Amino acid sequence: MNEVGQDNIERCKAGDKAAFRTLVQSYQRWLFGLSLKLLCDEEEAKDIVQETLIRVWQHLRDYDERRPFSAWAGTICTRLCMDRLRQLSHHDDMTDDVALLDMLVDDESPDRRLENQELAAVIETLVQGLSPKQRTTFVLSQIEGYDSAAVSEMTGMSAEQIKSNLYVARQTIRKRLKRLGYG
Amino acid sequence: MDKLEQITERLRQQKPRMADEEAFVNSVMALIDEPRPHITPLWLKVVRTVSSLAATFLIILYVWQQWEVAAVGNASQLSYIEQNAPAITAPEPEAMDRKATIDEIGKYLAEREKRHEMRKHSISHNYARL
Repeated sequence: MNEVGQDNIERCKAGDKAAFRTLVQSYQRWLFGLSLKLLCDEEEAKDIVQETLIRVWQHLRDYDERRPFSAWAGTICTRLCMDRLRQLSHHDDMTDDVALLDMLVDDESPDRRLENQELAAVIETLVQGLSPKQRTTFVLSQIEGYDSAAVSEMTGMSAEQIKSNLYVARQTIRKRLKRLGYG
Repeated sequence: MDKLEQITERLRQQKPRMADEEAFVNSVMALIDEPRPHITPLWLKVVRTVSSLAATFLIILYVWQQWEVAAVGNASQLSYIEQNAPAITAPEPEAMDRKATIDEIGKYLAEREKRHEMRKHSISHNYARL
């Protein structure tokens, strides 16, 4: 993701739609990746990215230029994903995608790019059974690689909550992997 | 590196993308081009609802009162008519009126005749004495 320039943001604030198109083109891929990893559903992820970008357009005047734009947009996106996760209930019915896990663990082809559905299935296999907060904390800090402060800003959770949620999530996933034969 | 670390490391390298990014960008731009729906604040909705209900109530009350006033007016008119009906609707028969008048006149004429006779008698009696 390339951060867009401050002048572009200013033009967007002034209602310049061409500037906003540039902004959408710059951030939509990153936002989609974030949403897909959090929701594990391609269509839901697209809906959330669309909703995020519309909210960005509508609330651009509230954006504080001292923060990176990606942090602000990422926070909107993450919180929309968390709301959606609370509403969704079908995740417990998913089956374990052992073949894909095998491929990742055995490191057969390290450069292979997973299809969106494959990526969603692998993450779903790992995080199913976790609460929305545990799941979000795990994805943001372990898969996306954000530090505790960034996760706290994006989710609105305190550092202690993040620590405990992450601990529970890791323990639960380790147990799941052990049960699947990856101990 | 345990299995979990290994898997998450591989997942971190994945950069998913949409199949139709340009179409997606166009759809977002089309959505922001649409006029924004006017969002009415909650307090305004409450005020509108309450005033509508109050207006409806007042209209119903006014119509009901008018109906009631009309009904009471009709009832009192009827009652007045009933109370005053003999005086208004049943005047004395004309025939009876005429008969009484004739009787009255008869009595008066008889009285006058009687006085006339008495006076005549008195005059003749006085002449006789003279």
